[in-house]
Amino acid sequence: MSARELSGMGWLAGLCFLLGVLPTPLVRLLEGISLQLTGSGLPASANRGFLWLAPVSPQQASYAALSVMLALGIALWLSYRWLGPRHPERRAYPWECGFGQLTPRMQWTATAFAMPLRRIFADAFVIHEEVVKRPLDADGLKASAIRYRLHVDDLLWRWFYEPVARALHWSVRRVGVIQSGHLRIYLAYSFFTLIVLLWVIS
Amino acid sequence: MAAWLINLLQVILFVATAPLLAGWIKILKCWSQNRKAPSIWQPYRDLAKLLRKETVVAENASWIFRAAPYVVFAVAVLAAAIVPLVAVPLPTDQMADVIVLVGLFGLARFFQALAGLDIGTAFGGMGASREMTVASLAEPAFLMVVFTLALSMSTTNLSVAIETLLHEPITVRPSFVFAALALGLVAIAETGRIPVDNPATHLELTMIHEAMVLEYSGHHLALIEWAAQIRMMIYATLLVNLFLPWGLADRWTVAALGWGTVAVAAKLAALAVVLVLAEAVLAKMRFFRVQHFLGFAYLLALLGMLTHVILEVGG
Repeated sequence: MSARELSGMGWLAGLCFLLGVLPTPLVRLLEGISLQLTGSGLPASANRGFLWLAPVSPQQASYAALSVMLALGIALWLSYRWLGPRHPERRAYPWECGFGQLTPRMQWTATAFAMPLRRIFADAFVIHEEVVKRPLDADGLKASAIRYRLHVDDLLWRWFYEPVARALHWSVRRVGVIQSGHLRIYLAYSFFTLIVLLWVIS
Repeated sequence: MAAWLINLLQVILFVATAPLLAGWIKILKCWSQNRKAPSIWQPYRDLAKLLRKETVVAENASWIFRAAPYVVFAVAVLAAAIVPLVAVPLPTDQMADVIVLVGLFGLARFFQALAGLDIGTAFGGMGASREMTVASLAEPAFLMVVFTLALSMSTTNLSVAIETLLHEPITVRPSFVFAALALGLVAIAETGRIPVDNPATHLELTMIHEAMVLEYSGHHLALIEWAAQIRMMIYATLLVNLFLPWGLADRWTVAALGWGTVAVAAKLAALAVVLVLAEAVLAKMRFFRVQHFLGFAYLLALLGMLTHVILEVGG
């Protein structure tokens, strides 16, 4: 991937990182919303400068993200200094389970990576998994091609959003019946409206 | 200033004695299996050997593979800095509370899984996938334990919670019993012990953590092993110091600190006995039984929270 391709995601990731490390200014900005909605903001005891994120008081919960980041940096540097490489590293061929050559097909794909999670949380999703084998020989033991298809749907989507969408569509179609049709239907509408109006006036 | 010095000393003690706990567990394990045990210093010798040896890196390894051991180790040391071992209060606990501790474990795990996937071998991917699956179940249970503690102590600051417990008369809180059991189960899963993972095997069907770090050698492997020992020690210390905090020093006199060290050493040694006894009677469970195991941990933590709300609030 080129640097330009990465930059599209990169600046968003950078912003997330910045928000994670310096959350306090954002929390201060968000405080305005909670003030407008509920009339109360953060207690005065939470205000300990831009480094500290302490919702109530430091005795109860506090987090200094920048200091943790800094401590992590120091710990990284020290562990590299003290436990870093003594000898030049040797480059070698990775272990390929005796298959001779490591190919991209041996890598774990996203599908493979998520397999245990799919199995464990199977009840929370609608999973369509199918393996289609095209047999090579008559007895069907050898396959010339295997096609794997996986489609994962959100259960909430099916149970909550889809009924709402269906109800909306249904009512829209009912309304749509009035609107769609030939010119003569519209003329009939105007005609009957006119008659009703005249009748009301007279 | 003295507090920071105590804190620093405590971190050094933590990192330095983590292999000792691993050695003690290994000895107990050997005894339970009627084998001749290695010396208690064996983990130190192993680490020293790995640090001396040449490091082999796969040809297609990226910077992530090389950086991951340092990140994992540094994060483990940082996590050790916020868990009170012999004395409270620690000044670092204001910088990072127990929720940050959960986050730090998550950060280390993320890098380890990335490094496992980095080379592109089947083992690395398998290990990473399994580790993340276990983590996705263990982390909610751990957080539930944290919330139970936070509710009953009304703080997420470890030092403050332990200090409060130290100063109150000895009481048995039902919520703590449930939380301790849940944390114990989470600790077993997160440190890769039987019945979730077996650290002593390299059998491809069963291994989780070992599969992820299979490509590592030399000083990289030393860092990862040491980090795993520190993680083990952190979970053990959390268990003994949160639920049985007695003996911890809350004054910084030599006598109190010495007594604190002896107390925590005795508690950790006893906990190791319990762990090994549990491992002796349990068999490694199938991977797709882990969700029941960790689901049970979550349930226990939830029960802890409910018991707190029902029995302890306003009582």
